[in-house]
Amino acid sequence: MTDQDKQSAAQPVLDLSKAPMPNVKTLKARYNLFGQFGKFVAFNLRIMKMVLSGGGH
Amino acid sequence: MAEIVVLGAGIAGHTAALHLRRMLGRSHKVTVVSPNSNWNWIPSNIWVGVGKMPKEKVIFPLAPIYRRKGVEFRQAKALAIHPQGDADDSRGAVDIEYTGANNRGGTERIRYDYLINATGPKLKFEATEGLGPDLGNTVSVCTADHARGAAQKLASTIAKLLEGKPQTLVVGTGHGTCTCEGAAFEYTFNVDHALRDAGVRDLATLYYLTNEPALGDFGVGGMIFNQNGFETNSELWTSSLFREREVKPIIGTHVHKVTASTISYETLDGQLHDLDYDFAMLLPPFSGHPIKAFDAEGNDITSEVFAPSGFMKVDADYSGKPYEEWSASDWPKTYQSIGYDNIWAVGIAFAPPHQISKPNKTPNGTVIAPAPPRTGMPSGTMAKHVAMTVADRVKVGPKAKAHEASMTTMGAVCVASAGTGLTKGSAAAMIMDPVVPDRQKYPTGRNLATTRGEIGLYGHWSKLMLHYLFIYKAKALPGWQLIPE
Repeated sequence: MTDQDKQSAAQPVLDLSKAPMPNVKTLKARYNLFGQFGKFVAFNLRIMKMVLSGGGH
Repeated sequence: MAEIVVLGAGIAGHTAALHLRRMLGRSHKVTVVSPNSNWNWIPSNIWVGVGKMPKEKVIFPLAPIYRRKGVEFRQAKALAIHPQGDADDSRGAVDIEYTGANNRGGTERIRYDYLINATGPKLKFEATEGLGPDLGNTVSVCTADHARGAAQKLASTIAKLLEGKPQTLVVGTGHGTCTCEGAAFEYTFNVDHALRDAGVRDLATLYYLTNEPALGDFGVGGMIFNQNGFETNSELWTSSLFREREVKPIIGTHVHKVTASTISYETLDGQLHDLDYDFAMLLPPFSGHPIKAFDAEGNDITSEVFAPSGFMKVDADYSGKPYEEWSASDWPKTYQSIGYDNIWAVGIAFAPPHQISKPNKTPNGTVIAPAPPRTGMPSGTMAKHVAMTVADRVKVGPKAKAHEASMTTMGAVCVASAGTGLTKGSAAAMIMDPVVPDRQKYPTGRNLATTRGEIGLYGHWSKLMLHYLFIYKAKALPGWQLIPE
């Protein structure tokens, strides 16, 4: 056990063992150029909708 | 002719000044007072802080822009305001002290018909012993210069890792009352990315030390998302990212002291801990700038105009009701100062009525309460609306109705970069709508149709697009006003 490991064991680090891990399909999808371009467009349309509908009056 | 003075040239102040100049004829005078000669696109400081972008790409000089647009610019800081005027003139006035190389230390009293306070935050590193890049032991990404210092320190840490020496890196908040946890979150994952790029991630232990009571809180009490037919939350979403990137989170912390090698902190249960480190980027808490206020006779009325935090009191409910009893209606709508209908405070300069994230106190009495963030998008929106109010008052008269832009109706976008590169980059892209939850309007506090949290390459593209778009807008280049705040 390294000094870093010993220190880590003594710190109140949050237990993330139950947090969901992305599967291979999700990881690949995050870098799929076509899929990501679609998300980019949708994200920016959503922002525009939000700006136009609720940015103040 | 009306004289309008804008204090501050950050996102809020600069936005207000440009819109005022656009909406009012040249017969009216718009003056910006800012201690800094440069404008800084602060969100991209994160990239400067990991050495992926030079400092020069995130700043530009203000004076040429203001010269071109017909805005007066004083490189100075505000010392005091006289909202009732003084013995010589009943118009309001601001005392300023010049900060530029040519006239540093010189003072002047400038008059105004309308005043917009957009002074932004004072970085209170002194609140924690040993915090900060100037007098302390930690680095920061709050300014472009700080970020460059952070990049140099990170590079030397990576060099040691390349020599095979294990290193401990800590990123987070340096005080229990910090805000802008999103920036610390973002820097964490950029550091992780830099370590992986250098091929040394396995030798590095990376901690995220935060005052948030839960991961994904971001100082706004977290968010509920609608995702693939399920309601999920920002805590689960961010926990997944931390686990995936092997970042060790420590939540609910207040840092008491930072020495050259150790961070001493307290957790919500009152336990005290020491964490040895080699590299630490810890954000400071914010306060308002120490501006005094005086009445016409010269009596100190600072406590009437400003909250104890130094932020300006506006049309919000400051009755101090318990956290559990606050509602969306407590939040300001017009940002008009209490008692003065020709003064406004926008961006970080206005005093929030209460925390959005639940404040906590440890058994030792230490307050751990993330302060509400007032990020670029809301700051720009409220600045534009106040500029519209001022323009109406100038053109129509003092009875012109104030424009409203409550943080309980406006949304915000937070794109937290987690690595750069057009095909290898990544970012956590979040939309929270509205910023301040309205539980009477929405069961979850926010609009599920627009509130989102996603991770992917497109997030990096969005962050890059925002970088170029907002620098274009801030330079007031043709069509700048068409780009939303």
